[in-house]
Amino acid sequence: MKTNKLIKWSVLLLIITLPMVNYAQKEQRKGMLKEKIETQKIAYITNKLALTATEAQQFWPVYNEFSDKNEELLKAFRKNNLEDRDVNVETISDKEAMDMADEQIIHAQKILDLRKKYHAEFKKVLPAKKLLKLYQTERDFKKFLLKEIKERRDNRKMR
Amino acid sequence: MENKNDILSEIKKIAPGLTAVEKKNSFETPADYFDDLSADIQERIRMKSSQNQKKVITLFRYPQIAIAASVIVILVIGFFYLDNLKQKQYAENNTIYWDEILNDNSLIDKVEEYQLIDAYIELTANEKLNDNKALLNESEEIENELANDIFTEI
Repeated sequence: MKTNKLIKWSVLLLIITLPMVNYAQKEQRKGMLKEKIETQKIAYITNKLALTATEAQQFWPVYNEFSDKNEELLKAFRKNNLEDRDVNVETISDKEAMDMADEQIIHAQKILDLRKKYHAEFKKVLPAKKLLKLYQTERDFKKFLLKEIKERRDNRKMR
Repeated sequence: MENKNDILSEIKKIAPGLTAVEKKNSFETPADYFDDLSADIQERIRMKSSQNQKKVITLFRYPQIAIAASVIVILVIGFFYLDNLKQKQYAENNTIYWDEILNDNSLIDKVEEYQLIDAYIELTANEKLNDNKALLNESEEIENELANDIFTEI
C-alpha cells in the first residue's frame, strides 16, 4: 500500500519536474556563461588599456554603471523599434503617428545623452589616450564575440 | 405398504445384518451451519477478488484529482515545450541575421554588444545541452577557449 503510493507520486513528480530541471539547467548555464563573458571583458579591457591599480579602482564602478544603464536604454530602444515596425500607418491617427515618430528620436537622444554624460565621467578617471583606447577596445570585443558566434555556428553546421 | 414389508422381509432373509443397522443420518453439520453458509461464501469471494484488485495501482481515488493532475501535467509540459520551441526559433532567426553581419565587418557598429552576448549564450547553451556532456568540463573548456582567444586574438 505504502510502496504503491510512493511509486505513483514519484512518477507524477518526475513527469512534472523533468522539463523544469531541463529548463532550470539551461537558465543556470546561461547565467554562468553571461558571468563568464563579463569577467572576460573586464580582463580584456584591463589588459588592453593597461590600467593601473588606482585607475582601475576609479574606472570600473563608473564603467559598470554606464554598461547597465546603456544596455537598459538600448533594449528599450530596440523594443520600441520592433513595436513600430509592425504598425500599419493607415490604421492610426496623425497624432499617434507623430508621437511614435517622436518616440524614436527621444529614445535615440536618451542613448546619446547617456554616452555624453559618461564620456565626461570617463575623462575624469582616464587619460585621453586610454579613453580612446577604451572605445576601440569595446569595438574589438564585439568583433571577438562575433568571431566566437561564427565558430559556434560553423561547428554546428558540420555536425 | 405391502410392497415395503415384502422388501424388508426379503432383505431380512438375504442379509440379516443390514436390517440391524439403525435407520438414521450419520452425517452431522454444526448447528446453524447453513444459516451463515451463503454469506460466508460471498465473503470469501469478495476477499479473494479484492486481493486481486490490490495488484493494480490505483493512481487516484477521485477522478477530479486525476483530471486536475493531467491538466497540470499537460500545461507544464506544454509551457516548457513552447519555451524550447521559442528559443530554437530565436536562435534560427538570429542565424539568418548573423550571416549578413559575419560577412560584412562594417555592420559591426549596427549590432550592440548585448545582442552579441545574447546570441552567443543562446547558441552555446543549446549546443551544450544537446551534447549531453558533463557541465563542469564544458564550462572549463569554454573558459580556456575564451582566455586563449582573448589574449592571442585581434
